[in-house]
Amino acid sequence: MTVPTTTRADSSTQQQHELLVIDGLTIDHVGSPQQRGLVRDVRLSIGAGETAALVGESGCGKTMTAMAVLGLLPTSMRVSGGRILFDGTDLVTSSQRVLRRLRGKEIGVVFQDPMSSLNPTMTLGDQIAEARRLHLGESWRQARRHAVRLLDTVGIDSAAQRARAYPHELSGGMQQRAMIAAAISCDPRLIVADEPTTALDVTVQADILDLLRDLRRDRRMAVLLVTHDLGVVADFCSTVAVMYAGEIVDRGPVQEVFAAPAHPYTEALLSALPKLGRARTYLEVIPGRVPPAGSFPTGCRFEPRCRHAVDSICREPQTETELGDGRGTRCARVAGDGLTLRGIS
Amino acid sequence: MTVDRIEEDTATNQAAAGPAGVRAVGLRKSYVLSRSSLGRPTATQAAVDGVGIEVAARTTLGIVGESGSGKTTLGRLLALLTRPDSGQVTLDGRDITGLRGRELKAVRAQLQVIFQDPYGALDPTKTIAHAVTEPLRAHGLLSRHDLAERAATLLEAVSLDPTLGLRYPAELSGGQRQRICIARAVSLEPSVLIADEPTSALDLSTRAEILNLLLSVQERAEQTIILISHDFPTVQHLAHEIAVMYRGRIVERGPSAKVTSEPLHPYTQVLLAAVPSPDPARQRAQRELAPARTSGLPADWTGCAFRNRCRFATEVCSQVAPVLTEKRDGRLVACHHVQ
Repeated sequence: MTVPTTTRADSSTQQQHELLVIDGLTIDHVGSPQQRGLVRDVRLSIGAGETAALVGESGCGKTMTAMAVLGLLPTSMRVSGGRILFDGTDLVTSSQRVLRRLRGKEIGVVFQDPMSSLNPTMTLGDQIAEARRLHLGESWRQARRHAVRLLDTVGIDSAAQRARAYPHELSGGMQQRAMIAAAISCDPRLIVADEPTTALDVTVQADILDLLRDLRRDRRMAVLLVTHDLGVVADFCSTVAVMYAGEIVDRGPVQEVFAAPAHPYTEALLSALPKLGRARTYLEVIPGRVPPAGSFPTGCRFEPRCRHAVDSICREPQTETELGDGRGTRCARVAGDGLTLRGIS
Repeated sequence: MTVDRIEEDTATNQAAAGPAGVRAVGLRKSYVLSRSSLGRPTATQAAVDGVGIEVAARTTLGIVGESGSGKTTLGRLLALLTRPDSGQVTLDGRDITGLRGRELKAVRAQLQVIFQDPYGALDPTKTIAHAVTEPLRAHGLLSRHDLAERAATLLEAVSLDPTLGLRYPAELSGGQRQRICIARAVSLEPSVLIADEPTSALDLSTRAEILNLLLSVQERAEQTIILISHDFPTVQHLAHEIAVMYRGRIVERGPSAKVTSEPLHPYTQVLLAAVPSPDPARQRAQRELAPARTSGLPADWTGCAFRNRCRFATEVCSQVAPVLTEKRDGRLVACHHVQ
């Protein structure tokens, strides 16, 4: 990871030409009026070569936000507001033709479960070669040769032989490496990785994160990482956006968000982690659970579970407030009421 | 052979640990990988290869390791769900390995299991009240007309609304289901709980809830808990002692705080260094110190199974399998290079 000060300098110089800008993204469920704003007013931008994390519990809308970037929302979901600009092109209004040209070429994707994302009836080499044939018009022969090089890049031994193997012949970690090889086959400028290491052992996870780190450095790829593991965020990302019930509630450089959260939800997530030296003590828990889509509170969506909630302020809908230095919060008590929160100690 | 050596180890420690609690000596279980055309096994793989453990009564032993290390098989052997090829399991000094029929059933009431997947562990066609009282009915300890009342008590004990008894598993969240699995496991007031990855299917904040529940259950009823997990922070949080498994064997065993703060076996060091810390500054320092994690298995089965991944490996590691021996601070380590 880059030292935070340089990260900030980087992002300010790249402000004018961000690679991905999500601006006010709102997603509704088609045909059910109460399920509006499953994802609401999400704003996020990633510069070339940057790594940003979307974190939150399941049901917070982080995967849906990532799928919207890829134009892969389920048919029951619809983007009802906002723009997703990829290098100036609005992905929301683009035709499927344009999206197909971008996906796999300019934007690579890595899903959580490699076994269900890879085609079991195709060899790894052919799956990786497919993208280059489609997007770059290479012949099978050229593309296959390139696939072997890619398998080698992602750290698979005897790549030429492995290129002829089927997915089930590889371990989970190797399959995930092959997924990454497919994702980077056309040298994309952005990788969207949805829980890429959740199904893997910690040692394999560390290897995969090292691999993504090298690729980011060598190829200047930006990475949007969706995860619920705060350790992975600390390890890999320079900026983080914490999502709760479809909204980004806290954002900023990872080190600063974790050291001094600007939203009670971030504080609660951090204090629910087991800590070294405090074994066999009771952990703090967040009372209640994430409200199901469609029954979000009308005021602050976290208010019913929040230990800092004050009726007069928190019953009102919350808007995002800029705090400077890339920090932002959706908590009126932090923004205007002087509330300070505990970070990781 | 390894089994004999471990038997010696555990024999020397017997006096210190005392008889109460769970002990296992020289447990071994292999699975057949392939058979000849006549059905005879031609290749086998030892999932658990001569493992000895001791868990003092009312304490928690954490078993950690990567997938494929044999920790789940070990849990099943200890829960008497799988029969070992050799070795024995004792509960409060009594050998329970070979029990059958009525005796086995009686001892099973003392050994209850919590499984990883709370979605798969509950019958979707039965109500929650039915699920939590199933062990009581199976052991003939509950008549039908006490069922609702008893179910309510059990649900309250795990801080669930007693009216949930009338619902079905599909209506509940993952955390609620895992609470129900725990309520069911403690319904017979067992002396031993074996929890196999109880939190790995759950969200961050739900994980904290379940860890708290396991702590409070143990404080109240003083069970012995065997916690199996690949997640070091979870194990370190709950366990008094930790056993680290690698390819079917225990490579390090000792007090939780010691193993976590100063791992002795190179594999434990690699495993701990790979757990990312949520503190960015600490994580950066940790990554710089992290040893190489090159994978790969040794070509043959003599010597130390970890040697291909080990930065300290020397000639002796490929020739002699290291034996689990006591090194320091009450720690057992299987490595030639740890003094």
